[in-house]
Amino acid sequence: MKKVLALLFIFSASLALFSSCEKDDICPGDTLTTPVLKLGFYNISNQDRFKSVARLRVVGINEDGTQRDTLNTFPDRSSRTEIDIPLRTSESYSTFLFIKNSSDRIDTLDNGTIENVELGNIDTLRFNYTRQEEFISRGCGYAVRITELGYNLNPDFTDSIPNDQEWITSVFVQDPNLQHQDTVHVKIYH
Amino acid sequence: MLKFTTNLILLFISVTAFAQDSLSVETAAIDTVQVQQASKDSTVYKQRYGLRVGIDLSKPLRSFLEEDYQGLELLADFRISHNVYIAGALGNEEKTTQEDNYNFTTSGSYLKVGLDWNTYENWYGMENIINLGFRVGASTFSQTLNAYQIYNTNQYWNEIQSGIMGEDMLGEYSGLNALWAEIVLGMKVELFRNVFMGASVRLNYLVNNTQAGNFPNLFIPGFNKVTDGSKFGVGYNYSISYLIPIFKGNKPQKLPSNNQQEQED
Repeated sequence: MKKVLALLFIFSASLALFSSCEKDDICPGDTLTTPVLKLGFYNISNQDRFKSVARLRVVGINEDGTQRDTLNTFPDRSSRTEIDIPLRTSESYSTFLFIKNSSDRIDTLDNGTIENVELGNIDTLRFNYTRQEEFISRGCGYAVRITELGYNLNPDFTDSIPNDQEWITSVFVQDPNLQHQDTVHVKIYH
Repeated sequence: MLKFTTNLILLFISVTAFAQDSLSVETAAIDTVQVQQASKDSTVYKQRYGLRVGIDLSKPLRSFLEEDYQGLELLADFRISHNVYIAGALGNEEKTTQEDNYNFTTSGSYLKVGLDWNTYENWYGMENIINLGFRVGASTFSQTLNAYQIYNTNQYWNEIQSGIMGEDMLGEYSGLNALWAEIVLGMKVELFRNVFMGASVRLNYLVNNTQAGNFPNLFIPGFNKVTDGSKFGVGYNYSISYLIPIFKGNKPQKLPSNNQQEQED
């Protein structure tokens, strides 16, 4: 009895000491934290069917109107039916350029500088939403829950080659609260 | 404060070294006496009953070593029968915890009350303790969220890199409280007359805790770290305490059959 007790004591003492050193509080990858916006591209004339967008490129727009890097959630200029869009968590809106048939024309200006001109059809989509910060777990900390998602198609005309032919015909918000990460939240018809 | 703590550590080290010599001498002497005493049963060693008060040494030591921690715990127990003690603790802790995406400070006080049962059969003249026990603990505290960043796996917008911090949830969450039960495994060794050195480990089970909706209780003073999805916690202490003897009592008489067995051993 005494020996068992002593052993138990040593065991639990070391357990208490070492358990505090272990960093077991990581955020598991499958935890639903800040959601991404899932977009699906559908056929306007047959609305249940996906319709892929050829050579799609998506670019975020900064606060000052400058363009960010190309969105990295899918291979740039590939044909897509569904894409993931990360929304800004520090602001209640995010603006993106959706470029169909994206390609560059390289122009050399008179003064010798080289300029890339986008030849694709550019539509602008601005998403507005309400942010609610929420504590997830010790490892993850806080995430943002997005609700009341709305959109604004082509706030200004953005094609570099003037062209009234917008490729997005209409947009439908299917899940304004981004509750599930395995279904499409916004349907884009074209 | 610094000097005081340093002194305390030095005292602690010297006391431990000291104790080993004196104890071994004592046991050698007692070994020979015990056989005669047990058979004759003429002289009975009077057990001391009284209030033992002490302090947890680990908390001031941690306060000294760790920048993010301050704590103090006072301990007391009172012997109510040969093997049973009523025990309690009163403490205060303030701890700042840095997690991956946020930083918070917990501050509060706690009280623990319960019983200890001494399982150790002492040799003649000794009153050391190896105890099992339980406590009921209660704490009132507050948590302050000092800083945080939003967790987002996709950093396309570079919000973490550009140092955008959360603001909405910052501040103090007060009026929090918790109730828990503890199983204690510990020991106390008498170093000098009436001076005991002890150590214990505790397994805690969180019974109830009131928490703020936007920030759960991640650390509870007295209970320690709260783990996600689990009600269990662990604790420990190292104590030095002083027994204030109030009265003396005899060791309870054993049944003759038991006595027989013990002599044969």
